[in-house]
Parts: sequence; C-alpha cells; structure tokens
Amino acid sequence: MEFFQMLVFPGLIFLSVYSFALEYFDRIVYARLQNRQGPPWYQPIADFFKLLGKEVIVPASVSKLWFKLLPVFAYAANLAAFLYIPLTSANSLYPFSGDLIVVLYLLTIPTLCFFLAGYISEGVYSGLGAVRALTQLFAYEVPLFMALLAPAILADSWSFAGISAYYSAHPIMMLVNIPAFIIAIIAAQGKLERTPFDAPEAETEIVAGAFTEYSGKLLALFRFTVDAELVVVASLLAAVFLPFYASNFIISFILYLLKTVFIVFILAVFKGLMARLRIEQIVAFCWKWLIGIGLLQIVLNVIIKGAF
Amino acid sequence: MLDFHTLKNSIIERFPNLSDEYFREDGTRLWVKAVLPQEFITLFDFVVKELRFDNFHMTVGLDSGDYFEIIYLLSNAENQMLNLRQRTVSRDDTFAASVYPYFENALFHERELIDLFGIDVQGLPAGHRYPLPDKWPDDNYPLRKDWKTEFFDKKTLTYDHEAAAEAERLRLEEEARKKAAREAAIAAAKAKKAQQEKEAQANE
Amino acid sequence: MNPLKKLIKWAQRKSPWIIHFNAGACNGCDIEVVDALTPRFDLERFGVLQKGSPRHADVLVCTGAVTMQTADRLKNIYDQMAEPKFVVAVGTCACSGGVFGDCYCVKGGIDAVIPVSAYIPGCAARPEAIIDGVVKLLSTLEDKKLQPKNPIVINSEKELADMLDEAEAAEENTETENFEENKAKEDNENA
Repeated sequence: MEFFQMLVFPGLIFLSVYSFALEYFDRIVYARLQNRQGPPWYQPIADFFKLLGKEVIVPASVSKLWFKLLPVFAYAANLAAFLYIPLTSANSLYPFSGDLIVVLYLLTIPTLCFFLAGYISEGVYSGLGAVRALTQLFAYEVPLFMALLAPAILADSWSFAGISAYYSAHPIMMLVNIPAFIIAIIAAQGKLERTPFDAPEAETEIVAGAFTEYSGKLLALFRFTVDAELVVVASLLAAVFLPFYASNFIISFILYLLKTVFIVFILAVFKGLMARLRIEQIVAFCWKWLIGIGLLQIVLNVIIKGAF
Repeated sequence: MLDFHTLKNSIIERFPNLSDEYFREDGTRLWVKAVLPQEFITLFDFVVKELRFDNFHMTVGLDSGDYFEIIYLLSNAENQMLNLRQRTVSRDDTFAASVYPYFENALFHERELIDLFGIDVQGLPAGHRYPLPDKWPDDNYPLRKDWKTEFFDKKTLTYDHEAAAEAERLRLEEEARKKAAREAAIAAAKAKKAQQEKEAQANE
Repeated sequence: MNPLKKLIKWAQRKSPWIIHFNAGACNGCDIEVVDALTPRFDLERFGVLQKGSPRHADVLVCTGAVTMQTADRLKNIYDQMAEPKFVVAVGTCACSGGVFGDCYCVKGGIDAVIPVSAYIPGCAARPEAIIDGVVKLLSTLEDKKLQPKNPIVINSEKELADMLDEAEAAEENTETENFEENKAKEDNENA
C-alpha cells in the first residue's frame, strides 16, 4: 500500500502528471494575459519527450559524474518534500512532529543543485547564473521561513497535522495570517525563480543561467524539477495557509486542486504583469520589506497566542 | 537659401591663398576644394573653433585617381553645412592628419579610411582594425578604384594582380579601338558631306 | 517503430525550440523574426519557444549574408547545438547572399558555412512567411507529409531534355490569347 502511495498517488506519477498540468495552466494564463492563444494542452509533455530524444553534450573539462547526478538529486529532493506535504487530509504519507521544518530544508536542496550545476559547468554564463541563484537564496530564504513559521507559531505546533488541527478548531485565525500569505507568495516566486525574481535565469542577460551547458535528458530532468517545484511549493502554501479539508476523499481532492490552481494563478498573473528585478534590488527588497513585515507578523502571532 | 557669401569671405580673409575657385556652393552647403594636410589642420581648427562649425557629422573617403581625398561634413548652430576636403600628396604617399583631437567620434570613420582606402591617418589611438575582418590580407584596399572584387579569391584570400592588369589592358585597348572607330566615322561623315556639297555646287 | 520512438518523433514535431542568430544581416529580417514571436503572430501555439543557449534549441533561425568575420562564429554556434538540429535561412541574403553576395567580404548565403534545411526568401521576409516556413519544416519531420502522390521520376538527363522539348512544343501549338487581335476583330464585326 505504501509502495503504491509513494509511486502513484501522491507520489511520483501524480507529481509528474500534475506538474505537467500546472505548467500548462501557467503558460495559458501567461499567454491570455498577453492577449494571445498559448500552447495546446500537451505542450509540456511534448517538450519533455523532445528533450529526451536529444543528444547529451557534456563539456570536456567537467566532471561527468556530477554533471549527470545533479538533476537527479534536485528532482529527488522535490519528490521527497512532496511526500511529507498533506494533500487531501491532515496527515501526509509520513506525518511526524516537525515535518514542516524538514520540508523547508528539503526545498533548499534543488537551489543548491542549480548553483552547483552552473558552477561546475565552467562557462561564463552558467557561473553568473549560479552565483545569482545562490544570492537569491540568501534573499528569499529568511522571509519564506518566517512567513511559513508564523502560522505554526500561532498553532503552537511544527507539524502539518498540528497546524491543520488548530485551524480547523479556530477557522477565524486563518485571516490573521494574511500578511504572511502575501509574503509567502512573493518569496515563493524567488524560490521558483519566476518573474519578477528570475534574475538567475535571465534569458536576455545570461543566456540560460545555470542550465546553459545542459542539453538532452539532463535538461529535461532539470526542467521537470522546476515544474515539480511549482507543485510542491503550491501544495506547501496550501497546506500551511489554507489547511481545511473535507472528510470525503473526492471533495478533499477537488479542494486541493482548487487551492493549488488558485495559488498558481496568482503566481502566473505576477509573471505576466511584472518586469524583472535586478539582483541587488531583489536582495534589498527582501531584506527591507519582506523581513520587516514578516517580523511584524511573527510578533502579532505571538501576542495573539499569548492573549488567547 | 542660406547665405554662404559671408562664410566664404571669412575663410578667404584668414587664408588668402585659397582663391575663389576653391569654393563652390549649391544652395544647401558650401564645398571647399582639397588642401594638403598641413594647411588643412589650420583651416579645420579655424573653422571649428572660431567660425563655430562644431557639429561634426561624418567623414568619407574618395579615390581621385592621382591622390586620395577625405571629405568632412560639418555644420554650425544655424544649420549651415560646410564640406571640407583634405587630400594626400599622391597615391603612394598617403599621409593624412586625423581630426580625432577635435572630434572623438571621428575615430571609427578614420579607422574605416585606413582599412578600406589605405590612407595613413596619423593621430589615432591604438586599437583593432575596423571594419574589415581579422583575416583580411594586407595591402588589399577594397574601396580603391583599381581593386575589383571579381579578382579577389575569397577562399584563399589572394588578389589576382595579373588577371586584373590583363583586364585593365583589354579595357584600355577596347576604349582606344572604339575611339578610333568613332573618329573614323566622323571623318567619313564629314568627307561625305563635303563631297555632297561639291556635287551640289557642280550641278548649279 | 516502437511506441517510445514514435512518441519522441511526435514530440520533436510539436515542440521546436528556436535560437535566433544574426550572421551579418541589416537587421530587417531580425525585426521580422522577433515580430513573429510577439503576441500578434504568436509562435508559441506551435510550441515554438525562443531559447538563449544553442544547446537547448532545435532550430537555428539565421538571418543575413555570412561575412568572413561571422563565418567562424556561426559555425561555432551550429556545432554547439545538440542533434537533431535544423537550420532555417530567413531572408534573401541568408538564402544566397542577396544584394550583398558579391561584396568583398561576404562569403555568400548561410549554406556557404552550414547545411540549411529550409529557405525562406523575402526582403524582409514577412512574419507570415516565416511561420509558414517553420510549419513546413516541421511537417517534413513526419516522413510522409511532403511527398507528392504521383511523383514524376526522371531517370536521365536525356529524358529531362526530351520532356522540356515536348513542353515547349506544346506551348507553341496552343492558341495564345492575343488581346489586340481579338479586339480588332470584334471592332470590325461591330462596325
């Protein structure tokens, strides 16, 4: 039974299918905002399989083993994080006290893998992209953690199950966390390297960032990781800020789909409406504004927890 | 119609050896005939600094047979345009003075003259050649009138001088032949006309 | 063909990623290529994405007559692309050198340096023409599409010469419309 859950639902196969679906949804919203048609529904699948059929070129002076392993590590970290996030009920596949923290730390591994991939590629553009990815990690990491831990402080628990239990008992408290939700959505765009925080992959500036020298199935796996990260982060935000579930599995599943689609819709609208920020603007913005509001939110939550 | 009379007079006043025939105007601009480098620099300095023609547009080169010319387009605040020319001494002695000390944007224009005409412009800072490719062979100046692309082999990057000389010789022969034929036709027509007149006179 | 190969062949047709390179053009065709990527013409509905890195792209969309200076760079970019790759020459200068073909430092069209899969003439080639060319190139990836139903097979040069003579003779024998003659005839009849 557990094997089935790990491989099919909510594991590998569900993550793959849903990441294709959400990438399609993201591209369609982006296209419609630009008043154009957008790709057909099978486009992410076509992209993935086309890349599988391409030749893999490894630069001569690069360590072959690490060049080929890094995409695997990145995807594996995303999959592992996904297994700890509850989708349709308060309990995920392996719930334990503190799994929120574990998920947050698992989600930093893909960013480190992107940095390493760009660094060992030994090219000008890959190096620049890698350094920018790591700089951006320092920028959005703290606000993201703050925003995700504020509801946990209020709920007095570091696990998804505890958070869900608290907010089911006191639904009105979900409104207290709205500033944290806003910060989390903004910082999530940094994690996902989306406009306006897509300096690490700025196509017009540094060719393709950390992935410049990747081709073929390795690139397919990296792009797949980026898509899967979208699903994982959206599910994480849904699990922490919108932790209401239904008792019926079908209704709960539909609720989960609606929650993640809503979050991805907000992200896609941001992508379509905004321009790219420079890397020093990203760092300044995150450290000044996001952390400022994050601190206020945590203080507010501590006060409310003490009061009630 | 812009008034170039005062402009011409002020130049002639300072440089009396430029007689009237050095100037030509055509309603939009004043053309000054070519002067040698030493005199040109003083003329240029005067025109830019004192007559305030300090809007520098561009410079182009010209292959005038016996020597090379460089044409400079200048204009002033009232939008009067002036064309100055500098000439080299001869086709072989290609020294020319640069206007880079006055206008730094002349840099690319004069690099182009060096590359495409072979004019030796002195006074530019060090830098890469422009605009010819890096592998271009020396001593091939494409914009000279005696250098034709059809004799340049792009694969081996060599210029076929014999073929060019042969073609030039053939062309000159052809021209001489045509000229002789034309003159013969004119002479024949004249002779025929004279004969006809004589016949008409004889008939009277 | 086993199903995975079929799937990959289908995917190659549906998702051509392009990289755009200017090998010495006047920028007219470049503007049109960029125009084809804007929302008005929307190449993304064919799955076309513009990528920056040559390693990610399938199709090299190239404009301009190749000069001696850009020839090495163009070859470099073509070599960096991963197989299977295609080249599309956009504009008359890219097809054959155009008006600049006999210039002193121009090597010719794109096919002087790299093998070209599709030629899109025009000066500048319109975005509609570029889209049409790309779509035709994609349809050749499926092995059957562009083959004519009853192809004419010519086995030797003599046969070709005979065919051309026949066609010429046939053209002389047909009555061509001589507008003025007919009009004169009509006028005479009416008068």
